[in-house]
Amino acid sequence: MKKEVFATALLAVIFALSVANTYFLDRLTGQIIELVEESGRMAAYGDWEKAQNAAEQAARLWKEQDPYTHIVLRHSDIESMNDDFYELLEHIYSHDAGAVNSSAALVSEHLSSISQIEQIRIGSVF
Amino acid sequence: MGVSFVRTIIVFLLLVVSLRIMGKRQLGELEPIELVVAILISNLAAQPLQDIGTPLIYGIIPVLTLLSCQVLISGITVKYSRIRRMICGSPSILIDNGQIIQSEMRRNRISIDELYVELRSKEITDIATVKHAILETNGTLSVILYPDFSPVTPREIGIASDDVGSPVCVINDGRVMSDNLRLLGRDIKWLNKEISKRGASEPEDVYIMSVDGKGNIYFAVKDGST
Repeated sequence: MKKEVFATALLAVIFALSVANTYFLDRLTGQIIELVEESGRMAAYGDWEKAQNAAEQAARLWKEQDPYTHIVLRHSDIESMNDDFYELLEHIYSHDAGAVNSSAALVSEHLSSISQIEQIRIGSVF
Repeated sequence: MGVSFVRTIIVFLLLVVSLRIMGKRQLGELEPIELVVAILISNLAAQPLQDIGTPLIYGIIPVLTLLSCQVLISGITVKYSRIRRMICGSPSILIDNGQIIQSEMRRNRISIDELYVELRSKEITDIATVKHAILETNGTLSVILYPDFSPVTPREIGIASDDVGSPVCVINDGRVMSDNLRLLGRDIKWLNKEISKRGASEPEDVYIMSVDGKGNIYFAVKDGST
């Protein structure tokens, strides 16, 4: 009976960790998306300093979570996300408003896709 | 993580149901749940090992989930026989009182040739000697012969059997098994005496030596030792 209790407890712990992970990843990507979108908006207004600050803050936030993301996300996703950030920053540094807009959209789309894949929904399960 | 967890449970249940539908003959001495876990665990564990870009947690979560499911369902099936019948099935009687139950043979998709193969593997060549043949839930065939064809036991012919107990190994490839020696109530002095009686000078020269409850000794020296 002890074994069965342990197995049930382990399943409950895994489920709880999964839910917590989904929540944490959703919050993290949500925060980064907000910053990236702000950066895009600032770039559109021509406020390059604010656009740069927001984009750098978003990239830093993503980078700070490296230990966590490397444990729970496929490394190919992390690398491709890093590339997207570098591209966004490159366009901001060169003050190319049109390119910033599309790069910011790409980063946001990629982040929301990473978050959605982890959501326990019919689409992601099957 | 959450998706891996849910996917593992879905695939686990799907495979258990599939194996139940496939029937007992596919199992090969494992219960359906055990077979599912054995099939899945090796693949799940191999994936993150082969691809270093896949986090180890993608292997750990499904393996732990599967193990927990297996332990949990095994526990439930021990306690509730109805659930056990549902998951593992129930034994099928293929031969009852010498009569082949053809409907059960068809239901388990077992041909007469396959039945003969199973019987021959149990050294039974004449199907007429079989009183009952039962296909167990793990896919093995249990056979009960008519009393006239069953091996004779010492009791049946009124001979007192000599129970010598199970032999205990005291030297294994030159190594003295001190615990076993103590279990027999013997010591190293006795061992050396028995060895020298059989022409070996020390335990290192002995490949195997075992002693049964009556003190009978099986002895073999190592190749090249005298």
